[in-house]
Amino acid sequence: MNREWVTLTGVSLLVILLQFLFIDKIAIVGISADIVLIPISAIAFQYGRMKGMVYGFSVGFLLDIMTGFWGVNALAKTIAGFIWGSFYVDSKPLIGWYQRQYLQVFLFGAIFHFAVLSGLNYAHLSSSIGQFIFKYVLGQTAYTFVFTYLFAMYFWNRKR
Amino acid sequence: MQRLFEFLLRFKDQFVLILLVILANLMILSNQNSQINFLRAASFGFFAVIEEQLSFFSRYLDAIETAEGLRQENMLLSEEVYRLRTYRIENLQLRKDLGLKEGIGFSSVPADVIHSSIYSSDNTITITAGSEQGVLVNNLVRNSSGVIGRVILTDNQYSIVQLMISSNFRMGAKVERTSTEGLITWDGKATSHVYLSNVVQTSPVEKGDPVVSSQNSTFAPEGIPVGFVDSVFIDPKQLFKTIRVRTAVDFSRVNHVFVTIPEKPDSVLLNLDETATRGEK
Repeated sequence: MNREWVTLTGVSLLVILLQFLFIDKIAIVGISADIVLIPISAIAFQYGRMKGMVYGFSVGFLLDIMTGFWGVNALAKTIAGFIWGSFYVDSKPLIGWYQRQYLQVFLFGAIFHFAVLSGLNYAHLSSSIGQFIFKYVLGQTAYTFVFTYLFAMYFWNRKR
Repeated sequence: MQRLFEFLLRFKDQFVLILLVILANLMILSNQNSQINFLRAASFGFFAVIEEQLSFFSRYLDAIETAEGLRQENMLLSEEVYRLRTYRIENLQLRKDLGLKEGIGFSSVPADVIHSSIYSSDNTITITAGSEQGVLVNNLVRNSSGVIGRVILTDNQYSIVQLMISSNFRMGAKVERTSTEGLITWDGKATSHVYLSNVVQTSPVEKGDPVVSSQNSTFAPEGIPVGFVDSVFIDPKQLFKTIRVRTAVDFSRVNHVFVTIPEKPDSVLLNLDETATRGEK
């Protein structure tokens, strides 16, 4: 258990660095991916709502500190951790994060995450609700999903 | 009591969710609070040290391209310096003849950009100059091309700069040729364009006209390039027209900047005002 958490902390820091130094720089027409959601979803699926939320809040807060505006990422990632953690019932994961359903549930939680995040960051910039939903919520979800899919494919191939 | 405890235990996930959501919302609401601002500055300063080390690699990769750009810029600047020296001598002579006093001087503090975020609504960069170098909140940040933004948070060694392409950025500017005043804003879309709004309908503006900071700006010295007029929007029902301005700065390639610091800080000017008021009484 301890070893798992140490590994996870290391992976989380690596993912945050990757997000900060690489992913943020390859945004397309103002849409950027958020790969920090991958370890949050993995934790929530594996350990449940409580750990998913606390982990989401902590990582989100760390990102907020680095960007200088507190609270936005912490809020969105707490909610995402809660949603993904809801697929863990009676002390066992309903969906193992190595299964294909992981991607479907990931998508569901990511939409909520980006709806909250974009609502706080971009709502006032959107000229219509359609633009807000398609560009910021679905656009960012889709872009993040590409990275999640690549990660999942790599993981599944290794499992085989 | 036992029942309450059981109830809390049964819905502990929901309670923790509510608690964390409230905590996050409190943080969002208190971002402008002075104590929180102090904590924000301290924590951001800590992470900026790490970011500076990491940005070394990307700066090294950009070094050849930057050097080439600097060579070209240097050539253009040396021509401009020669012209400006001539104008300065002429200007000084004219001011002396008219009996005008010298305006407020500005000094520049150079800094490197160690992190930039240009794809959100409130875009910022982190620079390697802070309060120890004399940088204050609201100081203008520029490079050789023009206005980049203004300082919004300072640590001892680092500062966060709100870019001109930020939805909360406002700055007084004017069309240089006609001295038509307006307000610089950004619509959150293209990072290469900003808008000069609140421009009087009757003022003549043409495509390609240079736009510079005006004397009405609360933080920028007059005459710093902002960009060039790209197109003009006129709504006959409105009193004002809006001008789309192509920015002079390419925000995707900002690596080195200068913080413009007034040599006479605002407090000195305020004291002067107070002295003058007392004198009048």
